[in-house]
Amino acid sequence: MLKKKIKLMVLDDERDICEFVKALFRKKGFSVSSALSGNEAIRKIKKLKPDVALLDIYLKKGLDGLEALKKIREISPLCRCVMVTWDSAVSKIKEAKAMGAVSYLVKPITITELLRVVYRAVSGIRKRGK
Amino acid sequence: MATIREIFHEIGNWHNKITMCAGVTKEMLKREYKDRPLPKEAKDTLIKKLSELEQYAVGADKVLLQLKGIIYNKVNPDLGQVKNKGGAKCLKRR
Repeated sequence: MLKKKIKLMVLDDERDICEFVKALFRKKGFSVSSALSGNEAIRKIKKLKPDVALLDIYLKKGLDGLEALKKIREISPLCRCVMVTWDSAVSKIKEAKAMGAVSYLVKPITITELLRVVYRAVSGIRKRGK
Repeated sequence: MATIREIFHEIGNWHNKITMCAGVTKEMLKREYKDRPLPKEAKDTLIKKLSELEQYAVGADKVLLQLKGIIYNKVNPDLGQVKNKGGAKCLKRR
């Protein structure tokens, strides 16, 4: 059980994916919010200050995940960002890491991987808090 | 009309939804039925099948990635045009 409710935000233009992530992490004791576009994510991050953000790199409209990452790093530098992408976007992963992303997930995502990566990001917050 | 790139992206999205849906359902089953009267055998079978479903989607996506590599090599995925004459011959043969 988590001591403090960790705030997680998921940015994905697929509503179903946002719902799966919310259902999974709420059961694990997280406070979860979602955004379907980069602009919506920026607005919510300013307001909610999440501890961890899952950002899909490829978004159909508006800001893409990398542009969102750049803005998030300015608004909320302590937020630990995990990028989500496809195999073919290896160069984008490198770019994201250089911009401050802590980790990445390659689609299709298995829940085991998702939990592992998010809990690792959370453990980074705990270490920082000590 | 959707481009080849968009179609591949869409198929990949479905694979992602399958793995996520199966995985989340599996987690729910483990948690929700921890102390509830679902026969252990039924619960174990369901969890096993959901894990298999997850892996099937991962497998399907690996094949899709191979197919994507072959097609993108021959055809511009955004314009739908064959990249060169050699590529055109290759596509006709198949």
